[in-house]
Amino acid sequence: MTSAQHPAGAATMSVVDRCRRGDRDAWNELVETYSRYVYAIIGRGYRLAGPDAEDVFQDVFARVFERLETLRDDEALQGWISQVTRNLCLDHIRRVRTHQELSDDTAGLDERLNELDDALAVRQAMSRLSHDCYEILDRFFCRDESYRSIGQHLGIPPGTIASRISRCLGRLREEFGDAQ
Amino acid sequence: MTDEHELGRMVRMLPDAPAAWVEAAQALPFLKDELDSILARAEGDAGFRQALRTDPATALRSEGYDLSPSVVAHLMRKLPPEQGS
Repeated sequence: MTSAQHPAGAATMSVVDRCRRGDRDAWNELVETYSRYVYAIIGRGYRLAGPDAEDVFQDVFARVFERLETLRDDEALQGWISQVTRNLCLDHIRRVRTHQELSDDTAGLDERLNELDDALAVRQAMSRLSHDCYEILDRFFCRDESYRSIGQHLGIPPGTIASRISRCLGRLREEFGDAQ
Repeated sequence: MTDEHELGRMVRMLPDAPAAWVEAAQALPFLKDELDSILARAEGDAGFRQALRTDPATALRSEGYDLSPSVVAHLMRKLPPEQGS
């Protein structure tokens, strides 16, 4: 299992403490664990893109690093990162957009952010699958790879990819259901 | 959430962040002193500030800094705005 596959909740219990001690490997792991989530809040939630999105993305992790000492409950890390990201997105939007544009951008926001929390829970369930299942689902759904490309990378016949995806989704459903 | 198509959709909702962004986010906290000192110099040294605006990678390399493009881009966004802009 790579560090990116660690379930966020379980992994961060010790990672947070190690980050507070300035452990660079732990910080790399924390960034990898939450980078997709922060990226999605910025892009899907607040619809920021390009340099604006990159600026906020870097500011989020800089602030998380600086203020990790103030986090009292390590298990609240995900919610705290979400809140930091939301605050910095709003600060950025307020600086560069009119009130009307801000209202347009934040319409339906809570629904989009709730969906991202669900998506993170699914990713966490996915990280508990076998390496093969994780790879095949990640390559197909996230990296948008073709059956042929997946087959080449994983050394399996392309004709079996569809059934493997279906089987792995079934396992993901079980894993996700068990965690709920 | 039991439908497998819905699960696939949820998996797709969290694609990778750009690798360069992730690498910069991992590096930046450990470069803070270095970046602060570059920004302080840029604030007080118009020639250096101009060189940064013209060609940041070359300006930084000539001063002995070896920073990734994403870190340089982040640094440039933190530069004080041009006077009169």
